[in-house]
Amino acid sequence: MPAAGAPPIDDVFGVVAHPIRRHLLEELAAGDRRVSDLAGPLPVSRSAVSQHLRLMLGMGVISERRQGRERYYALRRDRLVELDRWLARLDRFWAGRLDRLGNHLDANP
Amino acid sequence: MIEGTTVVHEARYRHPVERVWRALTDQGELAQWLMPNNFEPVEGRTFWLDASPDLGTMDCEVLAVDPPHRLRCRWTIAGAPTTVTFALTADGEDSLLRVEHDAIPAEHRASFDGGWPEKFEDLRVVLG
Repeated sequence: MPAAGAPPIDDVFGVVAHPIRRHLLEELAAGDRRVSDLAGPLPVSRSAVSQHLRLMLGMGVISERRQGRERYYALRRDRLVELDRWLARLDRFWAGRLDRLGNHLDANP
Repeated sequence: MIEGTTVVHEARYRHPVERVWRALTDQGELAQWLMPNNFEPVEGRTFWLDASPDLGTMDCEVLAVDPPHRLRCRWTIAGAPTTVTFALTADGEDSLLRVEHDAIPAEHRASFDGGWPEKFEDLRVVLG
């Protein structure tokens, strides 16, 4: 988006556009997880899950911390709030534009 | 109203569908209520919408035109393809307009062959 101060939505949108990543986000929304916790119930390889996690780390929507020999992943809700805000913005945009359409039609029947 | 990653709005206008359709598809009319544009209601035609400062300038494409009931376009916002669908139906003398703005259109979602898409439906769970 060329507008100054616009949220970097392509990143966050790209993250939630993939069903596996959406599933991972839902899991992490419930609490911190290890790769093995996340990969277990999924019909994809552990390395595929690791790849998705690396991408999500890069986008900043999750964080990683080491605890002993384990690595735990956690959701960064502040980044997903951007997507929610973006949708809320679009929602307000349409509410305003459809009101304007009504006024335009009434003034130019 | 926000449903998953789609923004949905419905409005009733006390004008016939033909009149509302003209407001949705005529360049000059669109500029009056939506935004400056060089839109033409031809499938496959590319156009721009100037939504600054709200959404910036968007590269768009007409995906489907079915006068006077349905218009579907792609609006590319910040490199992210989104789809906007206008559905117009007559209700007596009035028109009902439904707008669906899908921020993550299905055709751009990565395919998933696991066969359990319902598991991923409720993005709001994550966002909530």
